[in-house]
This record gives sequence, structure tokens and C-alpha cells, in this order.
Amino acid sequence: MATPTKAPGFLYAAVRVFDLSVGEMLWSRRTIFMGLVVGVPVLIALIVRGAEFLGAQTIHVNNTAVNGPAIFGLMIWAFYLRFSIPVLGAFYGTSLIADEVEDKTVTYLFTRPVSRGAILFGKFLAYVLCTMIVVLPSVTVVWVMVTPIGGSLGQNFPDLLKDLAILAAGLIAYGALFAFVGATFKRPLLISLVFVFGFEPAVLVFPGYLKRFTLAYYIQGLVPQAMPNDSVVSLVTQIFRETPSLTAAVAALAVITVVCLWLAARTVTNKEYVLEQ
Amino acid sequence: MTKGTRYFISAASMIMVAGLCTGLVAYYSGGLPLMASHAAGNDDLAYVPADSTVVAYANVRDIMNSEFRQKLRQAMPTGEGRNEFFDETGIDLERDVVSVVAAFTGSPIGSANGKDADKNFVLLVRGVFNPPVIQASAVQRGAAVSNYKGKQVLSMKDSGVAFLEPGLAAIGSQDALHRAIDAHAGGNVTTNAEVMRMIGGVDPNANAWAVGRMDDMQHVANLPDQLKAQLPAIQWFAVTGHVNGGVSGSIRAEARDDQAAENLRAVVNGGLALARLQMGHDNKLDAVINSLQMSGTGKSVGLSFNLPSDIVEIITGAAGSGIANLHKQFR
Repeated sequence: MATPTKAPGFLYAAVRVFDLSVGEMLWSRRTIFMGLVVGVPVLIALIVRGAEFLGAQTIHVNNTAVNGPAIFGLMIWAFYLRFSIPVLGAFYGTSLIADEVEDKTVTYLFTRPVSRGAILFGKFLAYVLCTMIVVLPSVTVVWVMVTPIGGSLGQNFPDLLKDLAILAAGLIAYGALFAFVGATFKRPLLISLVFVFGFEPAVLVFPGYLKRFTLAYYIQGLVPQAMPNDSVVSLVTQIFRETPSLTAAVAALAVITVVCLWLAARTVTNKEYVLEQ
Repeated sequence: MTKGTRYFISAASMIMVAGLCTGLVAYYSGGLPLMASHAAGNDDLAYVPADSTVVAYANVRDIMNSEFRQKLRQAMPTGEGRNEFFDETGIDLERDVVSVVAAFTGSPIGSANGKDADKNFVLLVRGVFNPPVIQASAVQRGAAVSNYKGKQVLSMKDSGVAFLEPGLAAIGSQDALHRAIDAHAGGNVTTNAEVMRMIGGVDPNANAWAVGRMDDMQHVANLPDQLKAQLPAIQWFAVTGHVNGGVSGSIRAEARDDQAAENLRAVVNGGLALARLQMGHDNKLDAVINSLQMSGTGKSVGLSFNLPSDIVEIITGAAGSGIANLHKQFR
């Protein structure tokens, strides 16, 4: 009688699922959307650099000339931290399991001799790689194009590293949160978008403890001085802002990521997915 | 993972690595190599001691040939400084000098009586020299000739000249000259990451610049106490200038933290606003005030300016009316 083979371990299984899922995720229609989302800042950087090369006048805000590093900081804030990262987290994170359910392939996936948690974790790793491999190079390209306008690449290199780290942390944290939302709720994308564009901005403006239930609060705590005073909302936010310390922000993001992933894995393990006929 | 996926990941990784390597090279070299060499007169920096607190450079040839300088010369002809320098060193500033690099170690101002400042100063002059002629002239005036690590040093009372290499001479006290010669062997300012970072941020089109640490300014005795109290907030300064038809340039300060920089920006903005309140009396002055632009983020505060060639007339006009008023008072 043949000796039954042992089921693969958690990490091995996750890596195998990761290997399978990377290609699927990267060549899906969502990636075209992601390409557009991260392509816009690159296009804007190209236009700004082209305008500077052709001798356009320096932009002034409050009698202060806005140089390359300032433009880069604003783009990181407006395009990436406030929009791209949460949206990509929502679109990809919620679809980790939801896509399998929608395509009715979840049954075949769950019949494999690997734990469901490992499947989720493997797909989460694939999401992290896919998003980082598109977003972070785009940020680097924008930095190289924009920073030399009235600024210095060398002097601003540490800021690039900080921004890359913050964006990576944001992608991981939002992905974990929305992976849990995707595994638990019926309309995960809608809930995620309401969270990103409704709950978080509203709660951050007002004083109180509710802001601690947002990810943006901790991400802003990583580099609080990056917040621009660009609107009345930002001004009000600055008045009421209590920024967590760097250690607290990093710890909170790590805890949120681990807890959300654990909850998502637990949900996926215990939930019976009923496929709609 | 399919081949296409691997290629995509590799391509994206290479783009990111290329960007990061560019940044890393710029960070450690104080700017990209091309820019650093253009901004620095970099060969000459090899003779600047590593502990220099202020380093300045001027492309003398460009400045002397500039339209601005010709106008200034016509408006305020003077040759005493030039003649004195020629008498001391045998070097004609206008004809023989291509560029200069000046470096201060310790306090550029020195003690309150200014004596120690000379010991801390070295001037590296690149140009066309005739060392035997200069040496003969110096010896006639009582200079002593010595040799320090293979370099010829002419020493006079408090200063001297050393010929470091063909086309490069150093001027300063004997101590300063010996330190410059030692710096070339190792331990020069190119190993000082902070100073090189500031030099790397200099506009490559500038034909004159100076960078330095502000700490030493605190020791100057004759600064007002209120100003001295503000100086610790500023750690580094960089001044760049481009002289052609007019003078354009920038002054950049690095504060100790973002809050200090924010406060400094507020102070500069206030000064600019006050200056703008005075506008409307003189078109040329208005043009100068309008050219002042503030910039900077984080710990950096910058002020750029663009003085047109007409500024010479403003200066000479102001100087002339000042002298005329003095004459009236004391007639």
C-alpha cells in the first residue's frame, strides 16, 4: 500500500498559490485599470518636466516658488496616498476570494489538499507583488523626472525611500483590510469604496477617537509633515490633528495587517461559499 | 509563473533599481557626477581640507568678462585692490586667473580682532602663472623659499604662496598652505559628505558659489544678540550666483528642523511683503524686488534673485547721491 503523502505546509502551499495567482492577477483587466491609475502621475510628471524644459514660468503658491521636490510631495499625497493606494487595495484586496466565487472556481480551489488560509495568504502575496511592481516603479520614475526641477536628486533621495516605504506599507495594510472585507461581506467592493471615500475622509476631519479606526490616520502618522495645506478640509484637519508617533503608526499598521489577514483566513476557512446558479 | 510574467516583473524591477541607483549615486556623490564636476572646479577641491566650514568658488574669467563687470568698472573704476594683490603675489586677477576656490577652516571670521581668520583661510587660484618670475619677485621683497612635501612654498610675513601643480597656486598663511598640501594626500573636503552634499545642490550654471556652516557665525562678537539667537536655527547656507548681463542667483539655508524652516520662511515672506510695500517709486528697484522669489520645502529655505544690468546704475546712483549729501552737510 502506498504511503500517503503529507499535505504541504502552510508556507509551501502559500508560495505555490502565489506562483499560480501572480500571472492571473497581473494579466487581468484590473491591471489595465491599475496601469491607468499609476500612469496618470507619470504623464503629469512628463508634462511638468516638458514645460520646465521649454521655459515655462515657475508655479507660485503663497508667494513661494513650487519646486520639484514640492511637486513630488504633492503628487505622492494627492495621487498615490489619497487615491491609488486605497483604490488598488479595494479593487484587488476584495477580489482575492470574491473573484474565485464569481467565476465559480472556488470549489476546485478548496478541494486541493492545502489549507484555505494558505490559499488566501498566497493570493495576498500575489496582490502585494503585483501592486508594488506597478506602483513603486511609477513613483520612482515620477521622482526622477520631477525632483531635479529646482531641487536635487541627492538631497531628496532619503525622501524617496521614505515615500516608497510608506506606499508599500499602505498597499499591504489596505490589501489586508479589504481581503477581510472581501472574504466576509457580500458587496465587498462597495463597502470598501464607501470606507475609502466616505468614512475615512469624514472621520479624519473631526476630533475624537474614531480616526483610530482608519488606516489613513496611521499612514499619515508615518510622515505627518507631508500633509499639504491645500484646502479648508486639510486646514481643519491640521487644527484637530493628533498625529500618532512613528513607532505607534508602524505598530498599528502591522497589527491591523496581521489581524485582518488572520480574520480573513479564519473567515475563508469557516465560511461555506454558496455559488449562485 | 509564465515567461511573460517573469519578463514583466524583471522589467519593472529594473526600472525601479535604475531609479534607486541614480538616487543613491546622487546622494553619495553630492549630486550626479556631471553636475558635481561642473559645479565644483572639482580638481581644486582635492586641496581643500576636509574640516573646511566654508568653501567658495568663483569663475573669475567669466565674471571679469561679463557685461555686468564691464558696466561696474565703468561706473566705479578702481584698481587699488587689484594692484595690491599683484604687488603681494605677482598674479594679475584680470589677466592670469581663471578660477578661484576659497576655503575657511574653523571660523571664517576668526576672533573679534579678525587676526585668527587669516590662519584659517586658503585661496586656490587656477590660472596662468610663471612661478620663477613670481618667486624672483617675492624673494626680492624678502620672501623665504621652502619645500613642503615636494611643493614649493614662498613665505612672507603672515602669508605665502605655494605652487601646487602647473596652473594652480595656493595663497594663505603657512599653516593653511601646509594643510592644503596635506589635504591632497587624503582627508580633503571631497570626503566630507555634508559639504559635498551642499556643493552638489549648487546650480551647475552658476559661475560663483559659496557653501558653509552657520555654527561659526555665532562666534562673531559684533552681531546683535537677537540675530545670534536666530542663527542656531540655521545649520547650512549656500549662495550661488551667475554673472553675465546682470546678476542672478539664490541663497539657500538649511534649518535644523522643519519648524525652524517654516518660521524662517515666514520671516522671509514678511521681509518680501515689506519690500513690496515700498514699490512704486523706482521702476528698476521694483524689477529687483519683483525678481525675489522664495522657495523651499522641509528644512530648506531658498530665496532667488535676478538683478538686471541696470542695477549698476541704481548702485552708482545711490552711492553718488549719498556722497553728494555728505558734501552738502560738511561744506
